[in-house]
Amino acid sequence: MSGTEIIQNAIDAAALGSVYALFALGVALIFGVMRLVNLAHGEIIMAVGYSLAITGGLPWWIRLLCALIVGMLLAAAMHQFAFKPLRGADDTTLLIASFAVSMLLQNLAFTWYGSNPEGVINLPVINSAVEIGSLRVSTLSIASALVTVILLVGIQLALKRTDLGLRMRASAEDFTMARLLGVGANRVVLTAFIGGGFLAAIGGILVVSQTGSVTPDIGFGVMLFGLVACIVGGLGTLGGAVLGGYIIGALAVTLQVVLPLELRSYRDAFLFAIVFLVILWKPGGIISSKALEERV
Amino acid sequence: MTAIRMARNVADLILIPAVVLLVIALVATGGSTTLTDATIRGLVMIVAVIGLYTFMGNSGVLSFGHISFAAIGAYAGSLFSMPPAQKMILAQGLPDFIKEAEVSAIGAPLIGAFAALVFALIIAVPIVRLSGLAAGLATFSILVIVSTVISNWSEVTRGTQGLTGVPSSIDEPLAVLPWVIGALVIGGIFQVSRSGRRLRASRSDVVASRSIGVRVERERFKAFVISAAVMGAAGSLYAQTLGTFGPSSFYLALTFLIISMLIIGGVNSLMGAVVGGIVVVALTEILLEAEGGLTIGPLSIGGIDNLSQVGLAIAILVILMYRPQGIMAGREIRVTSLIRKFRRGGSSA
Repeated sequence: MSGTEIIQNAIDAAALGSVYALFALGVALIFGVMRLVNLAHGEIIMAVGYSLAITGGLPWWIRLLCALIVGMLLAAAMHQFAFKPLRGADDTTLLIASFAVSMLLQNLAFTWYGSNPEGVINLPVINSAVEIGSLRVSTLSIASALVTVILLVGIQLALKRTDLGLRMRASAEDFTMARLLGVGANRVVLTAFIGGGFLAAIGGILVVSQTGSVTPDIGFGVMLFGLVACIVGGLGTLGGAVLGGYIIGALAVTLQVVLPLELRSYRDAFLFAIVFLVILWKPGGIISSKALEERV
Repeated sequence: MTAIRMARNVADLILIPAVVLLVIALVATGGSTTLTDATIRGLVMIVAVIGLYTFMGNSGVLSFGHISFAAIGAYAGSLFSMPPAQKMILAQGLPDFIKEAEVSAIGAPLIGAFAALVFALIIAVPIVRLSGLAAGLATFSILVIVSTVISNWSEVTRGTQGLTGVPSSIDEPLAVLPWVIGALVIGGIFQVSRSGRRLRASRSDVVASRSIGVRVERERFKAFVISAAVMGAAGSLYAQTLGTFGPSSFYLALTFLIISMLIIGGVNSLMGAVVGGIVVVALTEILLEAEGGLTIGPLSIGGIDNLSQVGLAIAILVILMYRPQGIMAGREIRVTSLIRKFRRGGSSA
């Protein structure tokens, strides 16, 4: 494989990894404060996709704004109606509940739109590509990577420098202790959800722009990979989630390239086999947090 | 425990649910096609839920991947029972001994159970060391892996096109009943056995159970493998009721259905599994009727296609919020306790 091909693949991996990283970060945020692995997070992407589809003819900034608002509202609604009443329940109950929410949303979308893909008119600028030397890099890939980096840096700053960020980090590390110390629990959890919704919305915009259409189960595919990214990278820490996103992106692209032709369609199976092995080796993920380790 | 004592314990446990299901099957036999179809499907689902319960209920470990056993059982059972002529054309990649085999449709679930059992033996060892979230996600990975492999191994499974013309021995609800009873017996025997009790101890408190000498991984292993076999049989039965199926028949929707049955009925008891199955099938049938459209006051909800799925999701959420242990809340309905109540003239123990 030539040098250009390697770089091309690396860029693809980075772009893909960025979307997964965004998604994983949203999942990790919510997990950190509620110990909930939100299987319904992917449906935010679906909702954002449909929002973009519906607002087709409007100016691009209105469409973006609508998409972001839809994403954040849906996340807040999930929290309010499904997860807040279940706060304090054990992990598996929450997991099943999030599964139920995911199925609920998918089927509602299925009812309203059917299973045929809805075409989404792309935002301007997305469709072009840039030539750097002998590489063709789509502006979408550049946009994905840039947006992700900006968001990650921004979130890190927000977490480290603002008061709310401090509260969130405290809650993520030890929720009960944080509450005892006066960190406003409701505020923090709601913020985590809305923040996660915002991130998923951005991720959704990127994903839908790449594929150009949306179906009721579009969220599930991304959710699967984002979730896996979160686990591989370590559920307890935000940095781990991001790292996991890029690892999974790199793995997906590497497998696509490295696997012999006959096995290529089995790529997902290989990916999940690797995930399975990681879970066995380190049930807490590669960067696991001390709070999650079982002490016996 | 002597064999007689065990037999009595098992009968004590499963007689009531068995009778209830027998009555349902009998009542449904004379009814409309919709009723018999729903009952047949429901009874097959109950076999599957009992399978899932045998692992999840006794061990307290969440498994999102059990439907992969059903998938393997379905394909194994169907491929062995389909006529060789069909296999020559459709599934070129099969080894010859499968191509030439023609097992009766009654034997197919047994083959399915065996195939699932073998697969479970292979993957059980690492899985039984996990619990909680890690187990749920690891078993989910298994589901995805199996589904992907089935979808792509077209020479053997016909990939996403699926198998058609599956020979079926099920023409009425009573035909499924022996399998349901069989599943109840197997689940019951495991539950009352020493192994089952040890496993349930580990469900209550892993650390304490280890301290009294329970080898948690070993007990989970047994439950895992047994439950896989029951699931495999259920898968083959389901394939027979469908006649035509593909990898998507054994993926998320079915996983959701079976898990919801167990959760709604109560994950900690065998009766819960049975009750959950009955309630969910009844609920989905009612909602399917309503999908044609109904009017509530000023609202006219016309033909919501997926009303049954939506309703099921809402039902799970409601149960999780207000009665997380499910309808049976971990209780069984034993013959002995009923007799006791009867003798005291209705006053509770």
